[in-house]
Amino acid sequence: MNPELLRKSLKLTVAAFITAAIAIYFERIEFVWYPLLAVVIVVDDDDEKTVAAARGRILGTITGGLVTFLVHTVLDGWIGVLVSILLMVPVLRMLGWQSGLSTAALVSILFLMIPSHAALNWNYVFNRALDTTVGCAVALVVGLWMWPRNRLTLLARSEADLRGRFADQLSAYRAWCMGQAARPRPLAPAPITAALERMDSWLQLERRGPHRRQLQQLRWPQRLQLWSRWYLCWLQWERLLQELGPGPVLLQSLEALQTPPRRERARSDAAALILCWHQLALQSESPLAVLAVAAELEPLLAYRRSLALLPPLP
Amino acid sequence: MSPAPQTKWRLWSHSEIRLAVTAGLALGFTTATGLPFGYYAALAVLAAMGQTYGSSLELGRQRVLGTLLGAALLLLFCRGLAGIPMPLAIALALGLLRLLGGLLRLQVGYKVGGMVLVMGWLVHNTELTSWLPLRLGWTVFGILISLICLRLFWPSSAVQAAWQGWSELFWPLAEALDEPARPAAAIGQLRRRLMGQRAALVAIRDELGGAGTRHPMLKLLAEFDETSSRLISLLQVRPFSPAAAQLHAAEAALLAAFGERLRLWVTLLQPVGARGARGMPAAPPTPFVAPQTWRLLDQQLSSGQLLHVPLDLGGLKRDAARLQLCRQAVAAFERVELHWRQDQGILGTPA
Repeated sequence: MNPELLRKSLKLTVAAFITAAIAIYFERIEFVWYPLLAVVIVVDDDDEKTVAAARGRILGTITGGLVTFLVHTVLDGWIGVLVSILLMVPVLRMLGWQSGLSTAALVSILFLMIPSHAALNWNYVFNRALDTTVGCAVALVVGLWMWPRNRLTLLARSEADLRGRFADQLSAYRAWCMGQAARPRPLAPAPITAALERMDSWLQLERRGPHRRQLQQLRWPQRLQLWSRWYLCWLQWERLLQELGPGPVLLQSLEALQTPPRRERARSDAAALILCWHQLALQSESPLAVLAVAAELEPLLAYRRSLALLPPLP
Repeated sequence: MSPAPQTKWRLWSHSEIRLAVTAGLALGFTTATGLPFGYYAALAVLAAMGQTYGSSLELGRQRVLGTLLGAALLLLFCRGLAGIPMPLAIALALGLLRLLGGLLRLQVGYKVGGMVLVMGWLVHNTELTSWLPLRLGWTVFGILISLICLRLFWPSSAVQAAWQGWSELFWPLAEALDEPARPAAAIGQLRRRLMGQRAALVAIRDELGGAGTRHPMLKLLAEFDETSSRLISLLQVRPFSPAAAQLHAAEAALLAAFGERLRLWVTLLQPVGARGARGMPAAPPTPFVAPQTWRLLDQQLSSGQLLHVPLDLGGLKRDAARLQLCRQAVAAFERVELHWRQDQGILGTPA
């Protein structure tokens, strides 16, 4: 079972339980579905989205309630809903609350189309906004306080995933060099670029959060920068590699990239390897293609060494 | 020539008017039928009407699956957990729903399922046998009317949005190629735009009926992706060594030619990116030809003449990577335009 999915499910269970219990305790059972719907909508996969969803829900309920209240004095039924939605759009945009549009429209439909809600007055609007706020508050407390998303763990997991992807690709190239498999297709850039972007956004969020010190201790800013540079070089290297066939120097280079560098001899080993490429270029019919691969290999080896020097992740 | 028309501030955008009118008309229709719970059709319109036809298809699919999942759990637990206090029972049911939704990869659908569960349990528990089929029926009706309206009023398709999106990426990319010493932030912005285009592919595939990667449009988009990725990378790699003046001049001419070509692509994409347009963008009338200075250099490199010039191997190595990447970018340009012309014959030019 995916632990992240289990965490999300437990979070929703606890938030729904607390919200329903509060509604019963304060004898607001008649409209208990209102805060519960807020919980279902607001408790999100990403904690950072939970705040945005709660904001949209509360502001949408208030705007929807106010606009519908004004419209219902003149119009009713589906025409009233249509006019309310049309009026809400520019109001929400002017206030910068566009994310609340669907909630505001929902409020309008609930107020104007459901007969039992026909007794629309200020008291009703205030109470439903209060119900929503309670649901959102519980969702936020449960999501951000009781089960905060541990972005350090997510960062570590993403890094392990990146390592795994590159290690698998290097193994595939080695198998190709040894004549055991066909040439592998280059790694698709989309998932790696997206992972690096995601990791960067987590890093920025954590820099303002309580784990700042740990983030620095584990050298996450440098780590991520190294991974970004490594990937840029890798992308070019793999593209350049398409011009070459398999060979012993390439096999040696793949092994150097895959195995952890020996600290005391890492630089000299890398220099010796690059010299082998130079020799190969002088003998090759397409020396530029060989030199190009060597050119991108050099920084790759350097980033590999730097990554190996970083403190291990817990 | 401008990359894209500047969007003027409007009280209502077309998509907002479409959303409001569709939801209102759906409500009007359901009211006229006299059947109860017709407002669920309007709620489905609000939830399923995305920015494009393709994105709405996926939202609609998730909404229907979520409704079915919520209904199944509601029937199971509303009576099955009748003996335990409501807050605990409903919380357990919602938790299980989230778990199953996650396992079934319902990204937004589980929320709809949660709404069905909450409303059915707390408000309609005495009339589930009539409420559930009506809710499902009105939901499907709301989704269908959303899709029809997305086709009829100011049609908005993911394919059109993609052409528009690519032209909005190509224009700043062309500008960056004119002046390659760009700050990292500008390059980061180009990369994010490229990622945005990649993310839009899901909706495009849905809109093309779950077409595989062999569909000419998807093939062209994949080649746009590859070419853009190569060009953005070229902006990031180390420049030529200062001594290589000939290389500098040839490369500058090549990058300027890439920029010019991208601007031509923008002019070809904009007509099909407009609302109501159909088909593939017209291919460039003439094949891409690299500038003379670059071709001369390339010939020298291919014949190995450069290696006879007394250059140190380290310096040459530094330039070799950039030279090779530029050559590959030329090949990518030629490839994309060749396939573009070939595929144009299959799908036709814009109507």
